[in-house]
Amino acid sequence: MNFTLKVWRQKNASDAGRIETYQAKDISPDASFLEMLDIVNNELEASGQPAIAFEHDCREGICGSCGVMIDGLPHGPEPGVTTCQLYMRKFQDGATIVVEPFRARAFPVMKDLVVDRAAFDRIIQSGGYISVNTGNAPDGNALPIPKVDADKSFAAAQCIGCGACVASCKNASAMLFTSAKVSQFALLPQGQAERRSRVLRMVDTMDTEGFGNCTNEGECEAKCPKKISLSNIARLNREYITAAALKEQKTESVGDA
Amino acid sequence: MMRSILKKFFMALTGLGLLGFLVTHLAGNLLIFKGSGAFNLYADNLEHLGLLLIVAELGLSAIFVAHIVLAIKVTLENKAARPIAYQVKNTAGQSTFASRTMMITGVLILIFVVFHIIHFKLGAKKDHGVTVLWELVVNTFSNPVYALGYVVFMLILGTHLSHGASSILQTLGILKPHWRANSRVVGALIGWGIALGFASLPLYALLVKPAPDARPAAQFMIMEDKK
Amino acid sequence: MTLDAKIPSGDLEKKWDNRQFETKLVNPANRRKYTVIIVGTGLAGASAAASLGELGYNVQSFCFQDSPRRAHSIAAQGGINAAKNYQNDGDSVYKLFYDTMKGGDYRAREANVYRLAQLSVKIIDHCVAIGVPFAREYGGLLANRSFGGSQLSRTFYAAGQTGQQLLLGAYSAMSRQVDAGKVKVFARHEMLDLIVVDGLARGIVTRDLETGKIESFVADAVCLATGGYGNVFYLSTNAKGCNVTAIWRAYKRGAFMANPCYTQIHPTCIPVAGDYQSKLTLMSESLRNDGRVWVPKKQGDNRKADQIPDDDRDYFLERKYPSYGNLAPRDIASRAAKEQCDQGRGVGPGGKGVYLDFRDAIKRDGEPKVKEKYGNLFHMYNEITGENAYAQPMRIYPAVHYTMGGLWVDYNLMSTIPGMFVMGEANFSDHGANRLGASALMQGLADGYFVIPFSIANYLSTTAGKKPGWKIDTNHPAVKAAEAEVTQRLNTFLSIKGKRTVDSFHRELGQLMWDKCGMARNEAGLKELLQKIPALREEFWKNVSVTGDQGEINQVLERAGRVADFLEFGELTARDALERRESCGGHFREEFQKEGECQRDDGNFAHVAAWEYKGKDETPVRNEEKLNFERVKPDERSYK
Ligand SMILES: Cc1cc2nc3c(=O)[nH]c(=O)nc-3n(C[C@H](O)[C@H](O)[C@H](O)COP(=O)(O)OP(=O)(O)OC[C@H]3O[C@@H](n4cnc5c(N)ncnc54)[C@H](O)[C@@H]3O)c2cc1C
Ligand code: HEM
Ligand code: HEM
Ligand code: SF4
Ligand code: F3S
Ligand code: FES
Repeated sequence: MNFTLKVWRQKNASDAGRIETYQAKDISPDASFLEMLDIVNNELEASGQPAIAFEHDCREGICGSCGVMIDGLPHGPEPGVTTCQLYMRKFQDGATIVVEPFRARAFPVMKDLVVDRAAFDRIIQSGGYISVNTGNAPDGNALPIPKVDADKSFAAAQCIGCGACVASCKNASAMLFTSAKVSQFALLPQGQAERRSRVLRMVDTMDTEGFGNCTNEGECEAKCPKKISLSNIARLNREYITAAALKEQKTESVGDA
Repeated sequence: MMRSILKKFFMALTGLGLLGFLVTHLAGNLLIFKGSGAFNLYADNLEHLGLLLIVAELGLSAIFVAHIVLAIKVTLENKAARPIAYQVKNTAGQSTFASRTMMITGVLILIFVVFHIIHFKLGAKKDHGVTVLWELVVNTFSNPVYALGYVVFMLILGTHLSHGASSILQTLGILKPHWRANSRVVGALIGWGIALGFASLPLYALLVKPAPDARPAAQFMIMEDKK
Repeated sequence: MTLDAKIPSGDLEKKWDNRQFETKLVNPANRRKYTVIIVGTGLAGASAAASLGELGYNVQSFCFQDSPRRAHSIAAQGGINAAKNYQNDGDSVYKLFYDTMKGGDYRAREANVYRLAQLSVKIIDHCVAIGVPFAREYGGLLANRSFGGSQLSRTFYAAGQTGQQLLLGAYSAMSRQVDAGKVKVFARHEMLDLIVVDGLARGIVTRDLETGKIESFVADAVCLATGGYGNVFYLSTNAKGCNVTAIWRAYKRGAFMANPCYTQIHPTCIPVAGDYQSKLTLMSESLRNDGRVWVPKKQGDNRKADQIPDDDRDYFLERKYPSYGNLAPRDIASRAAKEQCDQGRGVGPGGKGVYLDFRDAIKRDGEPKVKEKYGNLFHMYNEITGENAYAQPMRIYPAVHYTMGGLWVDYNLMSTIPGMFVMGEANFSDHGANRLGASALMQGLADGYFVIPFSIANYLSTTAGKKPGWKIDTNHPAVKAAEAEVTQRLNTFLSIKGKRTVDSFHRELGQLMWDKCGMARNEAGLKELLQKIPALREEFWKNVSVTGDQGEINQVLERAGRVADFLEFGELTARDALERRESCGGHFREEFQKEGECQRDDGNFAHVAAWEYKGKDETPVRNEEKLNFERVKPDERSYK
């Protein structure tokens, strides 16, 4: 298969950036989108030109590194997959494909298709954990957890932190990501002790990082490679409102140091 | 600074409040179908609420202003959250025309409401001490420009409400997953039901051109009092 | 040099208790005076950062990805073992210990393996406490499944994403310490050298992958948890970024490299489809719980799978290993599949594949049940191959998966450079010549959560801080020298401006390694490798094209550095494989076999081979650590 690629090139964070056109020739339909970019890059390298920078690692849809806008959609047109799991057989031969970085104030572009998603780490660092020190935890089966709750918690915990939810949302909102972590713990008995302070702090950070407000578009869920459900956002709203209403003391730092 | 979720929470509450007003307003206005007597009586009864009405009006205004202020804030923040737009705009099919244009439809509603109040509230006239609102409304809508103008605005309102109404449960955090599939449909039904309910009035006035009741409103009232 | 494994005294069951008891501790007030560098944020690195942070040390944590949560551990699918015996199927610490020793073909240290089995129990408890959503039964208790090389159900899992859930657990525990100010994360930082001062590990040199800045960090101890080197084969199930660089740099600074030739080839991977392919995808071993492996009995049988009646199918694992059947250990299952394909009975393009068939499981339990257990794996398979595994069998083929070898460490996880500890897949410690499924996650977390806190305390209280002039800064001459070397090497890459891409070298190396040092090895092939790899390396340094600049994000430059190290490391691997004149576990020498099964030579090779760097162009020296078996008697490793 052959494709015309229009790719965002930007040397570094301060460069203005522009779209450039490349030809991808003789691509196997079984090649992944990233393997197609590899082929283009190898040609660029062989001719001494700088390769297109894009993030990737596991190449099997679990690390959350990869992620670019393909024709205006994060991870491309297929639902439920990451960019590395998108195969060229899903495209028309001869198609022109526009490849852009994820865009959000909280995700500044660093180079070409690489953006800085450290804001997600900071959201987790402000409460996305259960405070238990390593040592002698009670037996794993001491506390039975209904399978439904465990399954729901796991469904939320599957988030890979790729940022596609932010990229797809017209408001660049990080609600789906944040709601996934808040839900994972809110659904488990282990998560109850810090339930209120957790949601208050994580939402604080989410806001200060500069993500937008959720206006219930639902695009995030549709483009989430792990199909994280919008009902997690409803839960996040509920958790936050309850916590704010009960005016739980915010714990600034919960470490034991 | 008010956190995103609280802002949205109050937007939903105020939206719900406004929705509540619209439902009662619509219910009252549908009396237009019953004829001038019934409608003018209703309007007069409202007027006689006196202080209560003023309080309600002030409350409504506060809700309206709060909704607008929050809307502006939320929208500005959302614009700022993505300073550089995508070259290719696309959707995965979940976002709707209505959801993307909430601010635009909102502003148009605002313009409509200002015009509407000037016209119907401040422009109302009295006859024998009774406000002849039915006549005002029907006369106004007998002018095709007004009638069709209203219908257009009601379509805009319907657009706003179709997303707004479906959003409320999600924003308030009481949406249960198994209702979700229906919530958009129900929201659209509520939104469009209200908007089309309103739109039926100018269309009725324009197309049917109803005549006022034979009895003047004042007589009607006296009769009612005797019951 | 004699290698002292520092195995604690006492009975096997008491050794770890004894070590914990003897360990010198650091009092809480003093801990905050110490800085510990941890390179790697996989299960081993993240759990270590969390536990050391909890204790009050200042931890500096490094990874090359943009976030610690993306370490390769995230990709582990199947599960984690623990000797909980929740299923009442006869499990015990001793049984897990025994299975692991046998699985490793009696090439692991007894004391380490026993400790691992002991700690497995605590790992599950801790992970549950920090909110890891393991799979559960309707009664609310933890669910288990079985894995290769075991007749018990002792594997805990979270659908096909166990590694993800465990890593996110460790990442959240570590994030808590970031919140508390005890851990500082340096993401997008690649370690390019180890700083050794007066024979002790004191820091690392990194390249900031965003700005290209070369920076040094000094500390009181350094821990490496940088994962495995399977990518020396180019195609493997590992993430693209997995590399040998960190441990190779440490090797060149004096750490010994142990058993590099022990590579695990995983039997259930999606076969190679074309030369554009950048990696191979694992289909979790858990599939072998319900899937049956077969090939057509007739060579070149072109019928579709469902047209081949049972009589014409050879369920070769069930036939050859009746008691373990489809759950035969990885090395054995892989070789059996290769054997079938070599005999011309393979299926799919190029005959490089065997079937993994769920027909019977679907018939027995129904499609919904199978979907519930393996849905995401079937989905993944469908996305990659375009085939529906509910309707036709999967095609699988072995692929490089895990590396049992790594830096040599003693019982305390300390390398031959004092002050440098190695955890997780980066060390050689617990799996001998073959690792059983679901035990790498166990080892990484045992090392990080439970072992390293003791080792660090012991080291710091006995060595570090006791010396006058202990505290150094980044102006130290050893630091400057290491920085200069790193910078010079990077500049060299950029100045070559040759014609061949980094990837083409990597591919060629990988192909050589796979052909001559893969599932089966022989003397002639290994000797050939020892000729070809240096030649390839020479060409690399003359003709590689590394585009872009130093002072920016430059992924080509990153890859060049990693491939340059693989080109050196591959040679050592071949050398190790050549010198180990026996077959054991993942190391199969064609000359040493009995009807296709490994033939160990306990008389001559019941030892760990630990390679010592002697300088550029010098032949490295092979040191031996003798393995003593007090409890298990190495016998023929039979799964029949
Ligand atoms: C597909 C797959 C499935 C698997 N499934 C299972 C399973 O079901 N059960 C099981 O027990 N095991 C499984 N394994 C094996 C297991 O996942 C790994 O062995 C284990 O996760 C390794 O963990 P680690 O912490 O040692 O290293 P990794 O998780 O590989 O982490 C390495 C870390 O080091 C960092 N790093 C590396 N080099 C540098 C450098 N030069 N500078 C800075 N940082 C560096 C990386 O950024 C990363 O943070 C699987 C492996 C694969 C490939
Ligand atoms: C009768 C008048 C109005 C009604 C009944 C109404 C109702 C609603 C409702 C129910 C919502 C959804 C809240 C939620 O997210 O759950 C909403 C959202 C919104 N409204 Fe209104 N509104 C009205 C007028 C206005 C006006 C005058 C403006 C602006 C000037 C406006 C701007 C917005 C905006 C921007 C949103 C989007 C926020 C969001 O979707 O979350 N609205 N409205
Ligand atoms: C076609 C439909 C409508 C008709 C016929 C109509 C009619 C009227 C009339 C006659 C009045 C003045 C008398 C009164 O106070 O009750 C009025 C007031 C008002 N209307 Fe409407 N209306 C319509 C639609 C709307 C809509 C869609 C909105 C809001 C978006 C709206 C908002 C108001 C408000 C805010 C007042 C002032 C209420 C007060 O202060 O008491 N109306 N309307
Ligand atoms: S919620 Fe989905 S889209 Fe968002 S970061 Fe997580 S996995 Fe990616
Ligand atoms: S797309 Fe955006 S608006 Fe909300 S529902 Fe998803 S975050
Ligand atoms: S590269 Fe890991 S999710 Fe795509």
